[in-house]
Amino acid sequence: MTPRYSHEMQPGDEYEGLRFVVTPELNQQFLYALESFHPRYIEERDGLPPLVHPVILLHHTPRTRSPSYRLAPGMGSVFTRDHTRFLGVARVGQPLQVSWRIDACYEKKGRLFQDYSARLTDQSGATIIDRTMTSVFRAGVN
Amino acid sequence: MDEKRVKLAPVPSAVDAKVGTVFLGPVRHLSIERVLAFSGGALSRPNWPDRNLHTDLEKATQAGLPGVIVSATQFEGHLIDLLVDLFEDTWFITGIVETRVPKSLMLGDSVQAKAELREVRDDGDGEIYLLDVRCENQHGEPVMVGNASCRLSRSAAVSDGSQS
Repeated sequence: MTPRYSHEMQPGDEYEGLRFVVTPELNQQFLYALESFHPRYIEERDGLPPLVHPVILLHHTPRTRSPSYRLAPGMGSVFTRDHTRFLGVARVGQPLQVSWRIDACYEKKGRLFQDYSARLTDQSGATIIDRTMTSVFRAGVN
Repeated sequence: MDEKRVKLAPVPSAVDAKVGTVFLGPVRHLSIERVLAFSGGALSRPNWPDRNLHTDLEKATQAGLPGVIVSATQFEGHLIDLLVDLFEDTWFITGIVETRVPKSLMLGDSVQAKAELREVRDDGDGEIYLLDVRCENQHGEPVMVGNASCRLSRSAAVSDGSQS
């Protein structure tokens, strides 16, 4: 079944999940992007792999990362608000999974807003971060 | 933010800081190299970088933007770095941040993360540090505003809860 366009999604609808693993190379690519080179993100500690920089977790949790995310032609979506809870650490080489669910759809000043939740978990199902985000749709985008 | 009580990078711990203290992260320049590293996708991809609003002028102007805009997540990352500096590993377990973006940050701009300690709340077994946070461009204009909190427990050392 062809996924619906994002603006057609309703509360309770879910996007296809995303599975990914952060390699040392990807982690260090983002460390370079942020000029952030703390050893916790590069070196093993207590026999455990380095930590994934939290920005990579943020980077993978907007719904645009879902394989089923689709925008209608001529429509754009702008992120407006974000609430994130950090609940655990992610480590380089560890399988991670993201799930998304629409929480609310509403109109303000003639524009369609959507609130949605994203949850990033590790292979045991433990939540690493919980996010709620708001986006507004714009028409007339090329 | 009242920056009379300013703590410059490298940032000390927030513990025992006085309410009203403003913590500053380093000024970061959003060069094309840094922006491509963040928004261009993994370097291993055969057609790197991805073409999107954050990497390609044509894509940005097609979307009605005046130029390439930096991903808000990129400078939120600078804010997170400041918060991790303040609270160390505890941030990864109890940190909460809420942000919104009042203005775009453009390729070539500079950005600085700031956090002002607004309140320390005792909940019996620990303390919750509440902060107003923002990122400002080189003109002092806010490009990200919001708040953050982190709970520090008085009991045993923080476990990272990592799985084997």
